[in-house]
Amino acid sequence: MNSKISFFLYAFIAMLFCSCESNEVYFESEDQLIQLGDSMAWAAKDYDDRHWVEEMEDEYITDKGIFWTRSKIFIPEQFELRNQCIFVGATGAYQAYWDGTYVGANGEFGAAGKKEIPGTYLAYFLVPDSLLVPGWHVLSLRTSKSHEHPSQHAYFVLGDYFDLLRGPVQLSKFMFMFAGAFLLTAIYFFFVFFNAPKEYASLIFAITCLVFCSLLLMEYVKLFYLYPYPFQRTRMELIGLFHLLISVLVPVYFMIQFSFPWKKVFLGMLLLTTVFLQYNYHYNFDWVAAYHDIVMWIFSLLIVLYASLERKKGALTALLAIVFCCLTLFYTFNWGFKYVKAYDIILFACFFIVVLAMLYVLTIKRREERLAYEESLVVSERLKNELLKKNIKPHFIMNTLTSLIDWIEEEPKEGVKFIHSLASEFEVLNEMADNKQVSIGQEIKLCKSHLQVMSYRKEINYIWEAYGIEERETIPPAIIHTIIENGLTHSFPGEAGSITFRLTFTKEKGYKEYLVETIGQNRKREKKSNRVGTGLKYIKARLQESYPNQWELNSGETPIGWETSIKINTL
Amino acid sequence: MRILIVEDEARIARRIERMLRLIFGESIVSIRKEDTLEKGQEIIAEGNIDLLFLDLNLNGENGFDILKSVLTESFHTIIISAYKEKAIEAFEYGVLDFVPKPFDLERLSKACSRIKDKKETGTTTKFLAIKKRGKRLLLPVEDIKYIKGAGIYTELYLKNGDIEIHNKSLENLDLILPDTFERIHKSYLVEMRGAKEIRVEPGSKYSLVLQSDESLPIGRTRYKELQEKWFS
Repeated sequence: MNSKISFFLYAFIAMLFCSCESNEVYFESEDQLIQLGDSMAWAAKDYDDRHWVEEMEDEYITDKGIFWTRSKIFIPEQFELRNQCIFVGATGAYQAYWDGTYVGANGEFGAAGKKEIPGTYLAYFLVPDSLLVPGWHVLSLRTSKSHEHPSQHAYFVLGDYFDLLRGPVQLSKFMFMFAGAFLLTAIYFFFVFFNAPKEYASLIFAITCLVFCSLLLMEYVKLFYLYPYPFQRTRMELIGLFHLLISVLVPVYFMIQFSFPWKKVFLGMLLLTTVFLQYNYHYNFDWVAAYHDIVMWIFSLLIVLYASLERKKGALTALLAIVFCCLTLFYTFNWGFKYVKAYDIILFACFFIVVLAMLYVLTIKRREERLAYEESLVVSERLKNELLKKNIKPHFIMNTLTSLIDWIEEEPKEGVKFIHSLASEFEVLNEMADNKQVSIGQEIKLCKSHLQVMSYRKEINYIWEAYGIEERETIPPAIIHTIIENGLTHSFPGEAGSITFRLTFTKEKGYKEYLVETIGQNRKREKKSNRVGTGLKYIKARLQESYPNQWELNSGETPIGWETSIKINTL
Repeated sequence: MRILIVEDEARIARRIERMLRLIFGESIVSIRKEDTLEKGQEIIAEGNIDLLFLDLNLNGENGFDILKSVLTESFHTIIISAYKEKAIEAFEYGVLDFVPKPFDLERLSKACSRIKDKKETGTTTKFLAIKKRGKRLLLPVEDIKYIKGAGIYTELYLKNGDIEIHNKSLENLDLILPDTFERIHKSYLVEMRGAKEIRVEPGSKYSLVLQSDESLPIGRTRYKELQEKWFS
């Protein structure tokens, strides 16, 4: 087992380092001179090109026939003078000449009614060993270009043929590992979302990962797939679009996960900024991408900073990750790295860190949700217990039984009626116990039988009245019953010799209300007791269970006794 | 006998009254029933009762606060409650008996008989409730050295030298205090674990010497029993 692990470990380390080959000597250049027209003399090494221009707007060269570019390339003394290759990134169909000697072609000119066959964006040309002499050389490209954009911006790398072929693939390897990780994560969270469609954070996270994956593929496709140059424009536009998406998705994700309070305002600002940048800088693919990234970092940073100050779980980790990424990117922005900019590598490493941070926040959130869910199960069980306990609490059952014995001893017939009322109360309560909601009719039945039981015990005349009841309505079990219990405890009959309980139901647009009035004399309540009675606690817990934060409970003295209202928002 | 029943269940209050009339018969002078502690306390304040029957849960109020206030009084208290698990605690505070609900005539008679028959089961009273400067205090029974009767009230002599006044008579205290308290004289009730020896004094007078070297008189009729029970 151990040997297997160490094998994989070695294999992994070997894979990491095999692209880091030593003693590589490269020459890179982006400088070139351009001239419209065609002359084979322009290929010569010694041709005097001082009158050529450094840059030409695209419109002057597109579909204007043949034009030439000349670039100077320097071979230093320590260069190995064999197996060298020129790696060209350019847009057009062209023939390449090394010091006037033809070294190869890329695509075909569209001369004499024939359509141009575009060259690939990247191309490799072996340089004959005989022409490899230390000092300055000239690479001339005889070019035609029938597709406008991307502009005639070319670059050249001279280096060992095998290095130049292998190196980009080696680099892409890591990037595709990232891409694979993003892809799998995306798929997993799409599944999560399809199974729980309300979890928008999962969806956003999945899309973000997918965009990261696409961006990586699009960015690094150039290093191993030689595509015709017109696709370069499409590719850059797609890359720009992906950066734009990321700049919106990541902050939105953090806003959702950390319950950011000013979501709409922030999203508005974010979209405005993004659209503004896209509109203003769309012509420069590299800039606009970098700007989108900066927007993403700034907005994410603000949101995560806010969340950290609010001490939201996972916020600090996310903050550290983002600050680390921002600093790294800031200090490495201009680093070069062979055929790509260091930025394009470090950026993805940073994206990866951000995704890890997002993932971390997500797992923390899920754990919290799971705990909350488990907690809610416990609460439900506890409430059920409490409901069942109502009638076996010694105060209720023992007093009831004592009275019952007395009734049976003194007036057996009434005693039997008493037993029937008690049986009815137990029966209804038992029916309700497993439900989180019961019909209002059932609840009223429970209240009535309880009042009957109590009238046998207390020998007080209890009157039940109900108005505006809609049979189809449901409420959590035994909450009105609990209000009645409180009323029984805290009232005594006034001059009328009876206590009336009046339930009124009203349904308005946006809410419904149950009003329970106790008409009788209030007992003096203990002055000291600030505690919330267990009855009220039960009612509140039941309401919260069925209508989270959408209810209101008010209770207070009135001139005729006591009233308790339960208001439930229905919007 | 003047009896007060504090019970918020009308039917149960009537049951208690009916049974008490059977138990005490003509010795009953009056029975009053109240359903709140407040009204009950008004009657207690008038000072005209000999026996209190108290429910521990009166309209949601905690009965123990009530209990502490009535135990400072001179009369006996019998608890009638649904909360059996409170019985031990109630006994510690010095109630005469605890009758759990539901109850019958037999159980209630037994409770009432304790007023007449001394300590048939032994008691577990751990505190005596006393009034001191208007406040109610619970005095641990183990702090008492001996008790001296002074007419309708008693003086509690404590181990720390203090003397406290209690409203119950020596007879009533004797009923609720543990077996280690012995009546050695018509005016003295002594915690016997603090006794050292019996000294015979000239004129066949006897006195009990405590570990604190105080000596208390022993009643002539009680000497023999005392000698056998504690010093043989």
